[in-house]
Amino acid sequence: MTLLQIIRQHPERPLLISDEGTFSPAALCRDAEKIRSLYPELAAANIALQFTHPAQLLLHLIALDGYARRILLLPPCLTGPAFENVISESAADFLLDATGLSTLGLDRPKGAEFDASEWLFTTSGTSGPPKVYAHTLCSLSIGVKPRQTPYCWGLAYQAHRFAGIQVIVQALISGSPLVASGTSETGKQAEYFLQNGVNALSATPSQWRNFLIHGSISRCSLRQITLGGEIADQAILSALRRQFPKARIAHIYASTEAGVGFSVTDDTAGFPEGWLGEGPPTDMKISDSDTLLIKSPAISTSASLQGRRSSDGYLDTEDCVRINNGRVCFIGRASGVINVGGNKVHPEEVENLVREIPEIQNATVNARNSSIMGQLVSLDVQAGALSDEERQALKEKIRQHCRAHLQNYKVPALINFVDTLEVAASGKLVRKGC
Amino acid sequence: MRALVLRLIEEVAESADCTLISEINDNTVLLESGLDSLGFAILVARLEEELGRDPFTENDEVIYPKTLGEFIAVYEQ
Repeated sequence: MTLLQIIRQHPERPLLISDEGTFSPAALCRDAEKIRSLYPELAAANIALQFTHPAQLLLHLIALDGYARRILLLPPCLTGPAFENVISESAADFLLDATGLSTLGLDRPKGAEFDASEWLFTTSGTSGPPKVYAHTLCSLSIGVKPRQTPYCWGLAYQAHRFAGIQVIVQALISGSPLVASGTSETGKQAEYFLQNGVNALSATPSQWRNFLIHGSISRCSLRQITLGGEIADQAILSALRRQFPKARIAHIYASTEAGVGFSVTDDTAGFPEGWLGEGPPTDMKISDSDTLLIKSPAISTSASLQGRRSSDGYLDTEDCVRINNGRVCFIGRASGVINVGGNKVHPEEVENLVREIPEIQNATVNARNSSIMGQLVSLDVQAGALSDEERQALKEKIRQHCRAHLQNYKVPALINFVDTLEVAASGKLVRKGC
Repeated sequence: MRALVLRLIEEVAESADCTLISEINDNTVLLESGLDSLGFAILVARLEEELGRDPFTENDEVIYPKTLGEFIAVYEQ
């Protein structure tokens, strides 16, 4: 089935609510057909889509799924050599954006029939140039039931991202309304979700912290809360539970490379130690260097993963874990550690500990270069408006709390108060120097 | 400079949970002052915040001071 065929079966009610208009299934189908008839050259072609507004991207995706052979979902701001790289890696023949269709100058012969369109995603490219990986509607909708749910989904992620597309596919397949505003500003997004009756929302823990700090999300009657993309610490899980006593709260662990993921719904950080072994949910064990190993038939065979695969078929996720009171807790990425005079510090471990302090709204740990120790742990905290005396007292409280739970090299050497913490377009917290 | 360094030594000692020796003067050997090497690194980082410079990264030939007097001299250069 294609997206268009699925949507056509849904009853008439608003399916896409956006600041570009509200669309029923029939309206979406009509617009999609219009796009197809406007661009006959896109039949069986490889096409790159680059739209800023989620509704525009969605309309074109509905039109082109099952029509174009390959659909590359480009980040709105991707330009220059990174853009050229991705275009050539995906062999895109055309670019479709807000200005219309342009040919990319490659006159390739059209291939044979194809079964399903490939949806191509780009990695965020924080380390090295962005790479392209492929899915189909079928692989994206594993586990999504086609029956109607009582949910109205808000789109907090950018639409072209893997996490955003997962929310979109979930809503479109189940026929649940999807609310997508063009803004990525936390406050405006929350207001828009509130106005349009959103009751199901998926976001990173960093985005959730910002939603809670902003406050207006608390007026949304959330029934489904999903956290993914970063470690969900106990502080954010408990804060969400206090705010939304009746919601189903799920934190997701997903390894794109291993092609597996699972969700945890017991309001506790990490996952039960009993899940290690052959599963369910999946075959996992812990390596000698304390990283999570996952075995899955779906493990990507990409050459770049060769060094991370063991002879018995496990993939090293490079996510460091620690067993604590019967739970397997994530403590951070194996890369991205801060090295204090030869001692390794996971920024996430310190951040999660600091967030246990009630006065702290949010915290980021950065690596600060040190001419003496190589690097030092530097902490930025967000704690609302405080007087100088209150700041001093809170600094001392942070230090005491950290000293009680951490080795001394992990205790933040420097503590700064900031008004806001930077969250990247991916919804993840930005750490400097790590 | 001396007053700033002494104030920050006390601040760092308190924050890093180090106990300073009772009398600190120019002849005090830094690593015998009660500050450990991590505390010393934090002191240099705090001084950089206050002064906007880290003399230990400015030259290729870094001279690591042994005593407090030598340490202050590095900053006064």
